[in-house]
Amino acid sequence: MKSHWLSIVRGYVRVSIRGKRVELLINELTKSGIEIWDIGRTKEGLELCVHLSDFFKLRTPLKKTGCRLHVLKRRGLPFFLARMEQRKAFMIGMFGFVAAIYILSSLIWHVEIRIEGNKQHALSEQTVREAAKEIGIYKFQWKFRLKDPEVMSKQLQAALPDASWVGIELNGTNALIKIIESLKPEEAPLYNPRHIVSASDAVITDIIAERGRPVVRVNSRVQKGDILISGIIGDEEHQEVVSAKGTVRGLVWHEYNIAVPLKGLLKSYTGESMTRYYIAIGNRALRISGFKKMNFEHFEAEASEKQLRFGSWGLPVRFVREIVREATVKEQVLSPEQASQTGIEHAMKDIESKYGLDAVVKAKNVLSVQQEDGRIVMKVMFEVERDIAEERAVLMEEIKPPDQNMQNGQ
Amino acid sequence: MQRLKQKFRKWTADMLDLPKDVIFDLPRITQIGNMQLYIENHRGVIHFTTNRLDLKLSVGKLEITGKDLVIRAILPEEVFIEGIIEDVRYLQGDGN
Repeated sequence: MKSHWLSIVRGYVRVSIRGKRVELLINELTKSGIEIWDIGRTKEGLELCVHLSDFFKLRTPLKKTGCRLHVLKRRGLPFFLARMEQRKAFMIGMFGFVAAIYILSSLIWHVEIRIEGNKQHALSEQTVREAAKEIGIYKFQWKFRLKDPEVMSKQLQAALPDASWVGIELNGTNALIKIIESLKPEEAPLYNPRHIVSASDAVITDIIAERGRPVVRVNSRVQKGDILISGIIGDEEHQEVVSAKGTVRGLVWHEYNIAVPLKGLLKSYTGESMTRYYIAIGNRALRISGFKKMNFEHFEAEASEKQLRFGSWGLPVRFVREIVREATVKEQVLSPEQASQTGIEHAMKDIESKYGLDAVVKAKNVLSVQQEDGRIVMKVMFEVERDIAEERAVLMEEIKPPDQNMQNGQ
Repeated sequence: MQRLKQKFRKWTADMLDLPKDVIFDLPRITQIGNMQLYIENHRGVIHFTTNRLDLKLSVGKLEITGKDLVIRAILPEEVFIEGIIEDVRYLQGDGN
């Protein structure tokens, strides 16, 4: 017996044979090289299998032995194909289905555009979609007509000057276009002609004019609103109005009224803690552990929640872990020195937050210290060196010849 | 003369340690439990029913009895039998 699969491909029939001299028939068949298998004995004769190609060779041995033949079963591919030939419409449908799936799966069904790092919104999805269409990526395009993703991404990048990187991915019937927008330096806003003026009364410590004419010098005293760097340059004949630019630093005095309470409550943890677990559904929680009696007088509880998941589905049940920490509340009494120290520190923090980190406290001068109602009340003068530049437009009256060409400095 | 030839063959088989079936044209019978029987070097089917299969050999015959005997495959010199094999008898010189 040869391979069963080969027999199926070649096709075979199971026949029943009626006759008396069946043993002789078996010998005849084997001698003439006809392959037969699964030979069983029946009352009338034999039942056996024979390949379709050998079937018609059976005639001579059958005649010789006087046996008669009757086909029981037809098996294998040739018979299947013959049957299929009779059901043409079914076959057409089957091949049509396979072909349709193949054709439909070789189309682009969806073009997804992902623009990343899009801070300036220079690229809209519409422009990308149009550029992609130019190079052949659009809905219902044949996939085999697309070029290599790398080649396409280069072409698309060439078409989109605002993109710093373009990536194209083909996932099945989806085309994903990833774009990282290039960050362009912000365009400098156009300035009007202007002066740099003082923001407050100060003594100049440093003046650097990038554009414009410095009017004051170091150590000169200025008042709020005084012009520090003029936007009008040139002599009286050749005058030009520019937008003054530069840095001016000066010493400024700030007076602070500070009040610090001498007594304060200070909360601190003792290190003792206990953990409780809850199972929560909606806004109801069921405690499942941590039933020990809690004997903390003061405490702070901190809860962290965890949503239970089953695969990718979130269950409506949450698991809540609550840590209860014991706390002690201490009354803190400050000495007047400590209190004034903290007051001055607060004030210095305030200066820093108001005028930026470049603000330097050059000197501080405690003018008065008083103790009243359990508080320290102080008056402190700070000498701060900070940026005092402020912008102000050039007024028409300041420009001497009115018919002079006004030029916008940029 | 025939007997002399036979003796010479036996002697060579013994000397060269050759398998006997090669020298004497004897059947080689392989039986797997009582379920399968594989016979090489037969000379044709004499009798076949579900309970009995007689095979012709070069000398004598082989009688196989059992139940539900089926010839799974048959070639001019080989036969492969399946079924419940109860008895295998080797009859020498019976002719037929």
